[in-house]
Formats: sequence, structure tokens, C-alpha cells
Amino acid sequence: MGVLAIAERRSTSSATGKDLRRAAPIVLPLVLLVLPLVTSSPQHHSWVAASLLWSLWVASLNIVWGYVGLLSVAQLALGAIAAYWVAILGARTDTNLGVLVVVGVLLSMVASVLLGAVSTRLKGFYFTIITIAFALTVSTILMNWDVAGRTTGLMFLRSEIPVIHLGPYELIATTTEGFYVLTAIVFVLANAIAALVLYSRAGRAMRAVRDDPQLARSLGFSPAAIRTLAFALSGALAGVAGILHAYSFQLVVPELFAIDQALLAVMLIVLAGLGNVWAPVIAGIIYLLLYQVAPIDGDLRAGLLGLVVILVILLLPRGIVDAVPAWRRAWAHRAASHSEEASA
Amino acid sequence: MTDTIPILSVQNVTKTFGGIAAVSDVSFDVQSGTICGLVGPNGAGKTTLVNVLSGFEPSTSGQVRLGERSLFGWSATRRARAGLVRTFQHAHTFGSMRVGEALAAASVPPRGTGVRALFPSRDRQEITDRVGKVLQFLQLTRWEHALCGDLPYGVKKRLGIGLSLVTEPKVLLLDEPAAGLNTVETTGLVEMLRKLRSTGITILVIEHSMPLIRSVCDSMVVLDHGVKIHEGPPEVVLTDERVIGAYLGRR
Repeated sequence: MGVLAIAERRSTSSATGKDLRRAAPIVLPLVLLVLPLVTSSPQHHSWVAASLLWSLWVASLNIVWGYVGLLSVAQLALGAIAAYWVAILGARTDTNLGVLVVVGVLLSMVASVLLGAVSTRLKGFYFTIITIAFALTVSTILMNWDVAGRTTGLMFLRSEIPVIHLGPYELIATTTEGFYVLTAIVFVLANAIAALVLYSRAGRAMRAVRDDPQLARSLGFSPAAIRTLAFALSGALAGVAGILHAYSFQLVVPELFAIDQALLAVMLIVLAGLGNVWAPVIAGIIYLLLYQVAPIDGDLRAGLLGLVVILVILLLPRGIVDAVPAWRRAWAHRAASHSEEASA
Repeated sequence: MTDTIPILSVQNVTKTFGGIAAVSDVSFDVQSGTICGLVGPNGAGKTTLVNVLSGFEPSTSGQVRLGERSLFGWSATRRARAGLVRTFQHAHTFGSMRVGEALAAASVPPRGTGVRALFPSRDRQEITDRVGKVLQFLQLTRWEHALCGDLPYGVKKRLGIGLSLVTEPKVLLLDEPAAGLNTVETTGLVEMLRKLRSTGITILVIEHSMPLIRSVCDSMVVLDHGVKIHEGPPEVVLTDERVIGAYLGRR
């Protein structure tokens, strides 16, 4: 309407910090492509592959918690749905693996959307409590269902190990290099998608709804529709992560998708920087250092991670990713005030 | 009054909370391109009425029309997309976004926030232009890169109006836009309201400041205890015994 006719001149905007963050989807593949050249150690490949897998869980959590502000501890349980689907039907039928995977991912997505549907009625912590209940229900069913192998679980695609040829690589779980390449490809795609979502109009809408749902409604956003979209994307990503998770262990067992594992994803994302497009990458690096590289006993790790989380929350409340620009701003501010003093 | 259909028509609207009427059988019309003041003492039901008009709370009875359309059963989201946009008494902004980003975000809903919004829009330039114009209009240009959460209160309130302007509203419902502003900012607000009116936007403004009402409003509606006690041009209404009694206390 006419308001716009009043002020004709257009402002020019510069975006510097933005560019770096937007580069994430482009920079990541390069880093990952370099790795096999730097090291040929299968151990290094398996370390990185496991870390990338956790990055995927964090990317899935980042969409619901970081982008739309709903803390869910059900991401691994959602992933379990896809993983068990593929494991159960893969063992009992001759269905094409590609079809199984696609349907499995869709199942996780639908479950996530249904879970998200309750978020329109429940706020904040109450929603989180629902996700706890969901995660516990899924693991109780898996532990008591004969078809799912109860507590011993099921072998994952042991009878039919799929081999995908890609140049010099054979993308199979039985070679660490193959699994690394497969995970890296999925990781790069997932991160690119997550980043593009965040900077799309839908991503803006998600952040708007997270920041202030009332204001968002008053401007014509539909919080329910936007949350549904976020839950669909996050659920699909959880499904992919679940299948890869099972693939890497060649096994599906309830513990793999239990709630303590979901809490690990929560801690990793808090450390890395909730809602930031780099969060999955940083989370993967933290996992790599703490859970793979560091020569620490298994039980100590969780304790150490907890300690680090407490320190980070106290010292860098917005996570590691945001600390860098914050320090840069503080530095620039100090430099500016110094130069003012000098000129005065 | 005029023969044309009023842009906003409030017809016998009642809103009760647990049997107590916050708004009781209120009717009035707002003509297109005018500024209507909604006044009344604290607790008169002004904000409740704005909540009902904007769809934030369902009315107990009565109806609201936007032009020829009845808004019965319409959600806040749908009303906003139809051009009936409200602001809040306490400055609401998108705290994690920069001012420019927040304004760009506000331009999203008319283009749909579903799956389509995942893909780049073709009218990016148009959005940038529109955001730039609103920044200019509200003198927010120098704050463009500031985080909304860090803004001073007065600027935050101006941004609140800016966000609603980006959506290109037909009718603006302003809930106490002058509350918490200093005198300079209030003068700017009066100026801004006049300019908005000249562009054809219709405004319903809740306000306590009588000088502001007198200087910009074409008409006004007075509520007291949820009931409309007077309606008409400010120069008439403000001399009415009942209005003076309700507002200033009986002498």
C-alpha cells in the first residue's frame, strides 16, 4: 500500500558475518573430501564416521529445538522407528532396500509430525515431557516385542549387505572407509538441507515462531503449519540417522536409541550452539574429541561431558559457535573505544 | 455518516470471562482511511476488544466484519493475512533477529509459510525494497543491523508498528502505541499516524493520551466497564458529561 510511497529511498545493506555462516554447506564437503587423502587409517575413518552420525542427530534436534524452540528428547526414538522397520522387513521379506529405506524415513517423518501436533496444545516443558513419554514408550515396546527381538535386538541387513559403487569406493558398512564415505555424503546433504532451510523463508518463519509466537500470529504466520514443517524435516533426518546408526553397528537394539542417547544429543547441541547452522558440525567435533580421540574410560566420558556442559552454560551461554563472533564484537568495541580516547 | 460500507464493523460484540463481561454488547464502525480512538479507564475492556477483533480471543457473541466479509470463526493468522493486523501494548519483537531480518520475516506470511517457503522467492528485490521503505518511514535505518532484543523500548515499539506495516495491512489495531514513549517520540508517533492515514490505512488506536487523541483521531469510542458510553468526533465526545465522569472522576 501507499506507506511505501512515502519513503522512496532504499537502504543498502551489507552482510559480512552472514556470508560466513551461509558458506557452511559449501565448505563442509571440501573438508570431508580431504580427509581420506590425509589419513588412510581405518580407525580415523571410523572415528569420523561415528562423529558425523552424531552430527546428524544434532542436525535433526537443531531443527525442532534450535529453529522452532521445542526441546525434544524423542529424536532417537523417531530414528528407531525407521531403523527397526528396515531391520524387521529386511530380514523377513525380499523388499528392495531402497524402498525399505524410503518408507522407513517416511514413517519417522509421520511419527514426528504426529508428535509435533501435540506441540500446538502444549507449551515448552510440557511438550518435552510428552517427548520423554514417547521415547520411553518406544523403547518399552521394542524391549517387549518378539518381532523386534526384545532386548537382544536384531541383526541389521546381515543377510543382504548392500554394496553401492561410487568411483573407487564401495559404500558398505563392512569396510570403515566405505561407511565413512556413505556417512559423509549423507552428512553433507543433510547439513546443506538444514542450512538452506534455516536461511529460506520457511526458516525465517520458524525463527519468528520460536522468538514470539504471539507476534508471529499477529503478522499472519501460522505457528502450527510452521512447526509441522519443522517436525517433518527433523523426523525425516532422524529416520536417516537411525538407519545409518543401525547400519554402523550392523544391529538394532533398544539401548542404541534409548533416552540417555537422546540426552547426549541434547548436551552436544547445548555445547555447540543451539539454533546455529554450524551446531551439527561443532557437535560432531566435540563428539570426535571426547568420545573417540580422548583416551578416557567409558563411564568417565559422560561425567566429563556433563562437566563441560556446565562450564559452557556458565561461561558461554549461547554455545561455542556464538562465542567467536561475540569475542570479535567485544574486541572491536574495545578497539573503537580506545581510538575514541586517543582522538579525544 | 457515509453511504460506503465501513472497513471495520463491530456488531454487538460481547466477551465474558467466567460469567463476567469484559466487553458487553459493543457496536461501532470505522470508516476506511480514518483514525478512530478507543479510550476508556483501565479495565474498561479496550485490550480485550482488540484481542477479539484480531482473533486472539474468540468473542462470546456478536460479530466483526472487515469490509463486506464476516470474520466469524477466523483465526488470528487468517485475519492478519486478510489485512487486519494488530500491535501489542508491550513491545513484541523477534529477539534473536536483526531489525532488517525481522522486517523481512514479516513479509513472509502473505507468500505462504508452507512447503513453498522452503524455496527461494522470485520477489526478493521487492521484499528488500519494501523493508527499506519501512525502515525509512519509521526512521529505523540506523538500527537495521541491531538485534531486536537489544533495542531501546521506544525503538522496539516503533519496530512493532514497522513489522505490521511490512504486511501491508488494510486496518491497523494499535494497542497503546504511545505508552512508555517520551514526548519527542510521542510527537513523532502523531506525525506517523497522520502519514499512515494519508496512505489509506485505517487505524483503530487504543490511547490514554487525550492530546494525542484530539490531534489525530477523526472519531472516537469510549468504553467504561466493558460498555460503550459514547461515540463520535473527539471535540464532541470529550465535552460529554458521562465521558468526563468516567475518565476524570466525578467532580
